[in-house]
Amino acid sequence: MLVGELMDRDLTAVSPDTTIGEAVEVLAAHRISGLPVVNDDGRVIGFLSEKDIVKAALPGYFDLLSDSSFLPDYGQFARRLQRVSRETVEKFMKKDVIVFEEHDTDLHVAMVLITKNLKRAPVVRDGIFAGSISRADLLDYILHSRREPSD
Amino acid sequence: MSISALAALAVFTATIILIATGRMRRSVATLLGASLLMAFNVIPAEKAVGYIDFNTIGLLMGMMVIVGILSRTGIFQYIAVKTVKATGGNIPLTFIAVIFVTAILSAFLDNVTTVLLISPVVISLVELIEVNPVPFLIGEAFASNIGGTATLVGDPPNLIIGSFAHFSFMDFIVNLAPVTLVILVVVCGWLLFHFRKEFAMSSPSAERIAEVDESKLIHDRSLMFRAVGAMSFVLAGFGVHHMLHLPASVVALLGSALLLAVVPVNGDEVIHKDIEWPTILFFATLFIIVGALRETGVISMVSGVFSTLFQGRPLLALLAILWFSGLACSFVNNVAFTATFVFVAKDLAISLGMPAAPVFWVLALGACLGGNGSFLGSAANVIVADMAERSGSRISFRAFMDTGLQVVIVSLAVASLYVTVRWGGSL
Repeated sequence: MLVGELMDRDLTAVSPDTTIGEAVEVLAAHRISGLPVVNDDGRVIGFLSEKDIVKAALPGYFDLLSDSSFLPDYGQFARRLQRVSRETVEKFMKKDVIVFEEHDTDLHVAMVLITKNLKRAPVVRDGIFAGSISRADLLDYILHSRREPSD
Repeated sequence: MSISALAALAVFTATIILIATGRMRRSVATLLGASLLMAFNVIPAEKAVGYIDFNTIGLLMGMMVIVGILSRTGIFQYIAVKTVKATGGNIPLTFIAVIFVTAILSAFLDNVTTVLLISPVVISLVELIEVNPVPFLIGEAFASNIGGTATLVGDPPNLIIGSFAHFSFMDFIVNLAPVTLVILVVVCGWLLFHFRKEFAMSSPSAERIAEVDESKLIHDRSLMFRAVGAMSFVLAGFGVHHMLHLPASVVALLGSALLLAVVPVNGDEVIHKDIEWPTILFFATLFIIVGALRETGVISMVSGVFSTLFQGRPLLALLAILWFSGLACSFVNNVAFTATFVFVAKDLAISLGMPAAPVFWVLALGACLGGNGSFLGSAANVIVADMAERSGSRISFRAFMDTGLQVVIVSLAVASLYVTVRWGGSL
């Protein structure tokens, strides 16, 4: 099957100057894990996932601190997250974004989502944002073929 | 100067520059240099192998395995947090605690390992008490370089000197540890004064520090006890290795082998990951480049210059080597400098008719203490700068060097006093 048949054609996206706080609202409202960032021409210029936001609210050296359970909670994480929420999406989005074309195959999409550890990725037509494909879409549409009532 | 001497000197200089400018990884730079020298027969391959000091390399490997396993247990972070907690959150006291813990750990661990393990824990504690982490990070770099001066295994120049001059672990403790402690106290006092503004602020520190639970840092008690056992065995072995006529490398290798045999870890994985193979290659090939300098007579020329300058003035020669190596190693890789200068030190002692030991001790002091001068002096300095950047502050090359060179000058001044008192009368 091709991505065009499986994708979610919802065009929810954010612009690079949206604040992180607003982006979090969109993520929560749509119950999705990531959002494409598109410019005024509708081209995908980045991708912002909840992972990027959580990471931004952690201290920069967290990967070298093998364990933080010894630290008492004085709102360090919440404070950083508040600070991050006022910044723009452009600062924290992934710029080398992986996009799929409508004619990519389900096998290709499945492989890329797993090897690149992505939950969700934008789909484009002629470079213009056309929808998204997620791990959930992939499984659900293939197994339940929502679009083909004959099945 | 012969063509081959010129070639050896050119390769050595180019290697040093490639490493200092960061154009090439140091292991690649020395591998390239050594291979070129052997390919063009500046130093024949069969002679080159003889210059590789396997005692230094064995000691490096053994320590890397033991420290690698020990650091997985969380014990070093536990010690750091426990000590900081004991200060009750008083900021200057916390700084002193960080300096001393870092220096003491660094005396037994590689400087880079010490800083990599301790600084993330220290920043997280310092941020908890809402204090600027930069003075603590800079202080840690200085403390790791100074602490490393104290023992045979603390800093790579000492490994090379110990092996070359046949100094035992205890020789280092007797000749370098006391003066290192004095230098550490003086530098710590100087830093407290230097950063007095940062330390003067009040912070909600006491109660927050009291809530820190360091026991959560120890993940695997049984692994920790076995690793601490192996480390104690090795340290005890270091204490007596000269009496048993065993090189220190054999003690470290035996300790690491016993540890690997008794702990439930994947030995291959430890050997692959914890032994820093690029560092091992760097040492081996660097020894070959230095061998070429020796074989072609470049080193004898340098020794000649030094001995004409200081004929009949042995104390002046000691002080000159101390300051020259200290200032040079602020900017030049101290391993490359020391691997070359051990030969100069030996020649110089012979031509000035003085005992060789003091010359080696001043070389060790200069090469290790000089590491504080700039980012080029020690990899630990680069790591704290990176850590500062990650926590949102920047330490520029210039800013580090301004403080670093002052620390080097203070340290070398104290060392000069020690050298004069200790050996001035007996030369």
